[in-house]
Amino acid sequence: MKPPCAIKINGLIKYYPISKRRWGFFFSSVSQNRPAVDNISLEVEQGQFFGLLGQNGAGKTTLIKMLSTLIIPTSGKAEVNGYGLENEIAIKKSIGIVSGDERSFFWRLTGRQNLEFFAGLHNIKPKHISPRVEYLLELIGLRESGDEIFRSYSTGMKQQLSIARALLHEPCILFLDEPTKGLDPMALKTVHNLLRVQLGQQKKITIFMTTHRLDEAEKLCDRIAIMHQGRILADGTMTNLREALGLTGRYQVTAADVNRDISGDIERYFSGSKMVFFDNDSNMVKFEIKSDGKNLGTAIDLIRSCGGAIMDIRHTAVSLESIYEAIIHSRKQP
Amino acid sequence: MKTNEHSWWNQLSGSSLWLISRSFIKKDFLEDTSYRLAFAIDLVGTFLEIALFYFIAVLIGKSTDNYFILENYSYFSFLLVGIAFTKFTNNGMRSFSHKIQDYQITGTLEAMLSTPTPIYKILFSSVLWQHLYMIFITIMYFLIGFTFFGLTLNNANWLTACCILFLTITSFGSLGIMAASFIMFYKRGDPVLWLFGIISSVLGGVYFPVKILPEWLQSISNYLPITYVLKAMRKALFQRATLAEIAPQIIALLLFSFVLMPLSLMFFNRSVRNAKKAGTLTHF
Repeated sequence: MKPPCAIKINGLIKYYPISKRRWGFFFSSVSQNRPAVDNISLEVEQGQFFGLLGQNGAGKTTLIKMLSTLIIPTSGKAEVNGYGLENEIAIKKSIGIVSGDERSFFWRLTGRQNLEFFAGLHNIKPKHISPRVEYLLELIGLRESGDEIFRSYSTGMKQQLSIARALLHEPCILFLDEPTKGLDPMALKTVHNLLRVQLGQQKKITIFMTTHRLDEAEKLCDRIAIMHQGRILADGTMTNLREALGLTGRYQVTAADVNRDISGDIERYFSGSKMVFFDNDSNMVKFEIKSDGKNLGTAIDLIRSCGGAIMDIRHTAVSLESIYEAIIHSRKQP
Repeated sequence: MKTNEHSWWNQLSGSSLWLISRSFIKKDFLEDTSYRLAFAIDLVGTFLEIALFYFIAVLIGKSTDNYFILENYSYFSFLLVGIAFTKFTNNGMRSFSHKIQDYQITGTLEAMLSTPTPIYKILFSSVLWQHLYMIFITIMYFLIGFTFFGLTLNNANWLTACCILFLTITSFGSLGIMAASFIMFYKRGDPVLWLFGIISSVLGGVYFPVKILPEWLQSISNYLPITYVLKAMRKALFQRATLAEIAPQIIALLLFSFVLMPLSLMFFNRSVRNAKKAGTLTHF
């Protein structure tokens, strides 16, 4: 019976020893002042597409490597598919890992030969290797390129092959460490579709993805955590995050025949609102009003009282970028 | 015909070490054969090396009679065994650390460690092809010596020779694993191997008999596994020695293997664990 949580992290901490040169020649190791991963606790449910968002150096890769047993934590516990981190072999049988490192293949072998080699390391019987490799090459759209030397592959093809390798042994959890790094828009679309639709929705694989691309996280993930300097600052669905920060929505109100002076009144009355467009010829004004909808009517009355005519009202959800900026900004404030 | 699922072949072929070894041998064979010129250069180099030592042996041959007349082989035969097996042992030792370093540099180590295959199986399997290739090259040494330079192998005991070869692999493999431990954590191990190789070449009886060294240097030779390998192999190939007749050398090599192998595996496990703690497993 599968555990309810695919991944369970409890108080994971990681300090790295940092080597410093002394007297121009010799190295001496000192412990890092700030942990790379600082007391992280979270749970990821079965079948969930979980995104870990953070800047470079936030500790995302360290966290993934600890969960995949490539790095030993300084303290704390975690379970992956019900197995503690000390059960290295059992965890590795349950997970597939996709890193953004395109060097991780043998460049003088073909894509097919690379997959066949790694299939052997996953203890797949020889008679099952060939059909499995063919299926995966078909899945990722590289069937025709399977016999080309790996070094001739484009960046997108290399990433796709990396995903295929992670799926060789049919894992129930996929760890993706910035899987779309360096991809062009077409390749990005292909990979997104593969991850979200084929793996996430159809095969119900639990996906744990790290990225610093806000648009990607917003598009793909059921749930997002924001990591900064080793800590999780926020964790939840987009709706949860918006509500927690009070960033419920913005209205874009387009009005005509409006006196420009009204912008000051709008900005004073609705904190965070602003005028985004003004056309002198037609006296057209576009306001972005931060509102939960209740006082939108007040804003409309104010515009009409100044002689303006409402041309259009649109609601825009707060973007992940705004949420991310708000969280990081609040973290930096004393 | 129904196959017996419990037959030794089915058990061996189904075991993970067999599958992993097969994958590595196939991968390394495909990679090496993609460097077509390297193989030809290896063979030509081997031929030229043997020719060089043959003519050196011809030049100084008469003056060496005192040392070899009782052994029933020539100085050239003595030399050929020395250079062939020194190359075999040095390459064998270096193969472990070179492979680990190569995988770290190419980024493939992390990908392999992400599979359920334990690192020690990766380590052993990754040097199999190299060892098979070195056995082939060693055979070529004797084939070339026999075909072109008058080497005689009429008195060879091939069974004894094979046993010595096996013990050579296990004892030098242990040293190779220790070097790989250094690479895993300190990222450099070649200077250690280089020094060991030089000392072995000078004191191990590769180019001249150990007995011509001063006594205090001979005592150092007794601590080098190459000394026993060469002595035993020369007896096996040129004096038809049985295992009983080279028992002292066999015992020494067994001791090297049984003492060094578990120690080296322990060091390796410890270095892997330390590298995982430091987060430097895949750094180079």
